[in-house]
Amino acid sequence: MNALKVILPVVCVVVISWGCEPQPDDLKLVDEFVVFTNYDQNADFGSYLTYYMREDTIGLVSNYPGDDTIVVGSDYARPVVDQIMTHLNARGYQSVDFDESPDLAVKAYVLKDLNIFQDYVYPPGYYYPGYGYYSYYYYPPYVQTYAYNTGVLVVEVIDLKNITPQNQVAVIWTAHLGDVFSSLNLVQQTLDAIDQAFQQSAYLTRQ
Amino acid sequence: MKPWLTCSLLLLLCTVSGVAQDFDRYFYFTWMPSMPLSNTDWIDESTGKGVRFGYRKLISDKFAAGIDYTWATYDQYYPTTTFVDGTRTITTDYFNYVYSYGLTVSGQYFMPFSTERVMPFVGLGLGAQLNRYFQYYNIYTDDDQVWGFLGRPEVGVLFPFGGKWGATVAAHYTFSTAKSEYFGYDGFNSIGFNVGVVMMSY
Repeated sequence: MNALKVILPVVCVVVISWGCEPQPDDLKLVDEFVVFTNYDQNADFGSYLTYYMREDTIGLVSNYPGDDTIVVGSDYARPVVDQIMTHLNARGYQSVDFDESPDLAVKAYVLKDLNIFQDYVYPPGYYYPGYGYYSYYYYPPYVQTYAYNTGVLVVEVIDLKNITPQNQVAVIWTAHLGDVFSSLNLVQQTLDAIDQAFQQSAYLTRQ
Repeated sequence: MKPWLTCSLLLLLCTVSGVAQDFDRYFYFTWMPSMPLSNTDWIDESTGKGVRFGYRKLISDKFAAGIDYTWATYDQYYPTTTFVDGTRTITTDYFNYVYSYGLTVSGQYFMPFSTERVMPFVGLGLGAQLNRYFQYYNIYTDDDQVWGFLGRPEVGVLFPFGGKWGATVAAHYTFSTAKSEYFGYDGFNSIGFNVGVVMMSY
């Protein structure tokens, strides 16, 4: 009976730890990006012809001071920009230089959200004062810092054709693709997400 | 049923002591597979991720009363889907989860044809249910947490082995008003089954 008194709680704890709020498979969760798009319903996408986009550069905007930077190069920025331009060209838009007064500007940047947590970790042998126990040896707690990034690739199409007298421009199409910091294959998932963003935005065309 | 499992159960029933003892209360712990009956467009898959703890005190030869604590996790995966809401469109695959917790005050009536070893019963539990609705997609999560009334009628059989231990099987229907307006989930009804062990106290 004494053994059973022990076994039963152990079984219960095992079952509880297994059954209590199980989470989805992480790998299954992050093997595809979430693709969100939105557009200005007043925009006439057929009225624009030309666009400008920087060809091998995307920005990185962070909530962490000093972390903003420019992503340059063939590993990520180039294939991302190429994929966006390929779709825009297929929809009938023409890429031009900025000094050729384009109708649209296309921006791509990674919006990074850096989260930092700090925990106080008490080593073995240390007891919190006030609970009635004090260790013979005193070990001070140490601070453990955790950080994780979340981020989305943002693609914006900006109307330069209808700049207001106050020099204001309107973002007429936006796509948010993420999470770029938790992907299994960053480049391929990004390219697939860009394909999906255009596929679900059939209105973004000159035809 | 698998042969080894059948043999094990028969062996267990045959080896219990031949003389019944009176018990005045018992605890039980059961595995509780369940199947949702309402809002099945959100989750319609059965789950085996559920357990139940209970305590009963015999009030008379025919009645027992006590409390039950249950929890179950329902989940379902949805492949990549595109949702359109006005000018906004989102494409993702996702998981729907419901973490369901129930606490009831329960009573059981043992049928007149009960024997010392086989005690069929009908029961009713009334209490509260906490449902935590989660939708997981990529690293993102939407969730809603709601309380509601819980009613749970059940039928089952208690098998006292004659010593400290016994077994129980039961089936129940769960009616709950724990609805999520956020997810358009109007109440939560399900059926469930219980198979488990009983510990008698004298």
